[in-house]
Amino acid sequence: MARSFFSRLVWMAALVLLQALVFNHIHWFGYATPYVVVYILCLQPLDTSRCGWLLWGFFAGLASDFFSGVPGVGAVSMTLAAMCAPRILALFAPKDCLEDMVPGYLTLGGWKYVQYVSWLVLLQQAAAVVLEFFSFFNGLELLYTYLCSSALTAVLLLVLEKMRGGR
Amino acid sequence: MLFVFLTGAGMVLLLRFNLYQGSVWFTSANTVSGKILEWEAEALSYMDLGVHNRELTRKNVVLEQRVKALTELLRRAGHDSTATELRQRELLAEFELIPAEVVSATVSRHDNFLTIDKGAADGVRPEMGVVCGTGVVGIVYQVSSHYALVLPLLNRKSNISCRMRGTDYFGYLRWEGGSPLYASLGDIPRHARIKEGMTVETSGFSAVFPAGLFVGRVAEVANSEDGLSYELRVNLGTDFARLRDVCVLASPNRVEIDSLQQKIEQGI
Repeated sequence: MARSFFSRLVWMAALVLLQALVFNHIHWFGYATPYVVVYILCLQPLDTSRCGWLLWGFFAGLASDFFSGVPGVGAVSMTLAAMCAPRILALFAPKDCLEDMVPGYLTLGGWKYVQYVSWLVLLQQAAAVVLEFFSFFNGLELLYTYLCSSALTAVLLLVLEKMRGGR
Repeated sequence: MLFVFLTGAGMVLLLRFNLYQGSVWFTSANTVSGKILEWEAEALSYMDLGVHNRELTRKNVVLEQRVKALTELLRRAGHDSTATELRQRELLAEFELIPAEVVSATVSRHDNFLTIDKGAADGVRPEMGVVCGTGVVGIVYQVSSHYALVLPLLNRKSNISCRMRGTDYFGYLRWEGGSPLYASLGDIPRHARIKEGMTVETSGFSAVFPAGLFVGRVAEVANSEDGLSYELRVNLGTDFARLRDVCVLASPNRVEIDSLQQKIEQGI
């Protein structure tokens, strides 16, 4: 349990650094900026408590906010995603899985894992983009940013999971 | 409970440390609160209609008397009044006036903003000048489709180039907080002969305001901190606490200026 906790802590630090040093500087086609910190939510086991989900989400978002130009966006959007994450995971988790199952390609199945990651990313990005624009005046630009950032983030998270071993 | 607390903490961070989100939130340049404030302002303006009417009538009488007196003075002085009228008309002809109503305003903060009920759909764009009958109000900061957020003179980020009428000495008008009736005009050279009561007007050094728009009168002449120039305390012509009807100055050359600036930025 403690080992798993520290392992996730190391992951969080690595993801925040990666976000700050690399991904915050990517603006693909002027719209898409990936947000890989969401991956910390993908590493939470099935038996994580509600408070646990929220605290991991909030602090990971807050840590990434220190390096972003818009403090608060990461913290709020990650908290919202963490609030919904256990319900989304319950939709895709097999009935006969272990209580401490960590979602992955093997534990959920490839297609279901892709769906789980996509829903998490779409939810987090929706909150982040709305908070960052804070207005629906440029509706089309907001939509482009949302779709492009979500797609790029989801692809990166799936690649990260593959690199982690896909367990 | 924890969710509400964490989300609340995140929102505080967002609104406290981000100028854009903070100003949109607190000054209501968004559609929903803008509409509600517009209804409130409309209701209040109906209640104040009698007072406004009396004030307008009084102003009208004063202005009519002044026009008569000035026409008489011009006639006696033998000036070519037609030429003066033509010059004035040319100055104003460069700008299209978009009338607007203030739906929300603050005067007691360090960084005040005001919201007007005209936006991008009415032709209002960022960096357009805003004036009222008594002088300069500020510059448009952000616009939504039907509302615009104005950075008034009563904001520490406001910095408007002004000159002393009749002398052409110019400086920058700033507001450092305190009374909403006074601002300070700095960078006026020491050799300039400045007296209390002199008129401060816009210098026309930008496309935002034409030269010669009334800003206020010199209330006090003092030395700047470094002693190299004068720091003038200016009694502003606009009473921001009672501001309701304003006009946005739309320059027809705005599109040309914007595209030129865009080209320069792309070039850099």
